[in-house]
Amino acid sequence: MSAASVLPSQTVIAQSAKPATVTGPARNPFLSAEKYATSYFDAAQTDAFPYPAPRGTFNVDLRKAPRVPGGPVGYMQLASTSPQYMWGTSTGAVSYVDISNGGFRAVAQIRRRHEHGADDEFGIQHRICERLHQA
Amino acid sequence: VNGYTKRDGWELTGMDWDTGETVHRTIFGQDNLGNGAYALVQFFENGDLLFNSVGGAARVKLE
Repeated sequence: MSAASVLPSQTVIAQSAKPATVTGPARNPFLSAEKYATSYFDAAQTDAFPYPAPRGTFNVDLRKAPRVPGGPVGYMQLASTSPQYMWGTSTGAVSYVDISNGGFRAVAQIRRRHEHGADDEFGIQHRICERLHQA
Repeated sequence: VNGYTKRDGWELTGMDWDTGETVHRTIFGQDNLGNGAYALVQFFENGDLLFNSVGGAARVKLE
């Protein structure tokens, strides 16, 4: 098995499938949720989530998965005050996303208006995203 | 870790923290949507992957 490490981008820590006692920092009562309410997942910036990631090999066609258009950078999606919704955040748009019943659907979205010149960094990124969405 | 190899394309690779063994692979193939653009990788409580793709965030059922 080859390691996919040519262009490593980000590493996060998932809890082992084996149950373990996790002692984390005290819950911040001013955050909407204990996990995913802030960048790096929690108030202690642990980059760790408490949910076990499935083991095995999975072949996925992202074109068939429910996706909220955005990008090119969507560093993470944030918990809202309701467990049925998340905030979708990216350089291209801010969305309010219904995640209930296993879904993933934007119910409101503000897309970034392209006001920069065609050749600047944002213009190039914008065109790349538009092509990805059209493909 | 989200990365790319010429053979399999874009992929999400998970390793056992204690042993280094590869225990998870989600293979996206040659589609550039598999590029996470340095975003964090998230999972839902039910095991669904929340992949922050260069083309927007996607929810992926891993079956």
